[in-house]
Amino acid sequence: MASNLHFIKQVEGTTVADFNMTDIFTSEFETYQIMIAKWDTANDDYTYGRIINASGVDTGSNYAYAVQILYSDQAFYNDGKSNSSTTMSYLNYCYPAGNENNGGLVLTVYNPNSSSSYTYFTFQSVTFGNIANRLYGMKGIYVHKVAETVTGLQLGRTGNFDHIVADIYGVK
Amino acid sequence: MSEYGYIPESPAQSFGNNKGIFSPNDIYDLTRADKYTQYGQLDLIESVTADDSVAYYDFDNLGDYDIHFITANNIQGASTTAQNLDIRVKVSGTAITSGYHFGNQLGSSNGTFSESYSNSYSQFYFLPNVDNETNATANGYSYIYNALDSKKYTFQTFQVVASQSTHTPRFSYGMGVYPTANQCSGLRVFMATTGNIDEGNITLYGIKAYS
Repeated sequence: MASNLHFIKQVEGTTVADFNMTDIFTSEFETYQIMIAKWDTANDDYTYGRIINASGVDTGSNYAYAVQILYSDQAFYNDGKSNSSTTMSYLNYCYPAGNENNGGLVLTVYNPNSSSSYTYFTFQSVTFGNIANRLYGMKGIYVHKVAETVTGLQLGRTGNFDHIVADIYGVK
Repeated sequence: MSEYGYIPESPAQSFGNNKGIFSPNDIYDLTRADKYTQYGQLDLIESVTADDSVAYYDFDNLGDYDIHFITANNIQGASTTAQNLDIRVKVSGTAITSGYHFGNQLGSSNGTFSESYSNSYSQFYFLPNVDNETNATANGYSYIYNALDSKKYTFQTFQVVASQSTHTPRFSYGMGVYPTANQCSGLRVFMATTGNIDEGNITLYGIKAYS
């Protein structure tokens, strides 16, 4: 069979503080892509992620990340943590004005179903801030440094997601 | 016998949830109704092979997708002047030539890393350092978000690799936005400075989703 994206499910959230994508990773695929083009929010803030396992959302200090934030009007910003973060930070930056400006994300997930390896992520996102007249681009990597089976993903922020739609694909 | 071999009533059909025995006509009808399970959600919309006849290609059929994916492989320009192969949105058939933002990170094999950005640019930034020399090409991909949503801005991300004799092999990645809410009628992939697109393939895909 030729390689391609295999649609798994679409997850939609309305007025939620935490957007949970549960039971999206299985033994069928080793690599997944989560794509989001629709984010509506009522306040501006960064989005972060946490994994979901058999016990629920992992809020422990089990995450490492390296992220570069690209702007259209000023020097870029780099940030990272090796092993002490409680979140996968800087996934994007949602601005509320009109909700036309919260753009896109592709998050690739590696080995979530493996109980003997860490789960790895690469991502690239883009949004726009009307007030600052500024593009916010983010590119980076995350590692969930626990060898366990990961079944889902939670996105969070300060404030609600008024509306968010994620499409989850297996890469085969 | 009712549809799909069921008596007396046929079950509802949807992607990922088809039941019954399907005739070729059933498959045809369900596929047209977007209710037949066929995996492979990277939908090919159009692919072009450059032949030094034009300086741009217009992709005026965007289908019905929230996210588009463009690949550019083995791109060479007809000109020996190093330049970008970039992207513009088209609105009502016209390529938009102002009002874009971008941020771009460059990394070269000589150890040089640099950033560039603008909040007043003429296009989406894409492939850098395209020229015409033996074995030197530029390759990459770009995601386009919400081009067809009249209430959303059109966004872009990209990642590329290029090689050229006067510029060491390099990567480039970044993001762009055309911050005007409208429905795009197409996308234009074009040489940013001069000359035709001499060689290479440019392909537009749609990322299929089901609600």
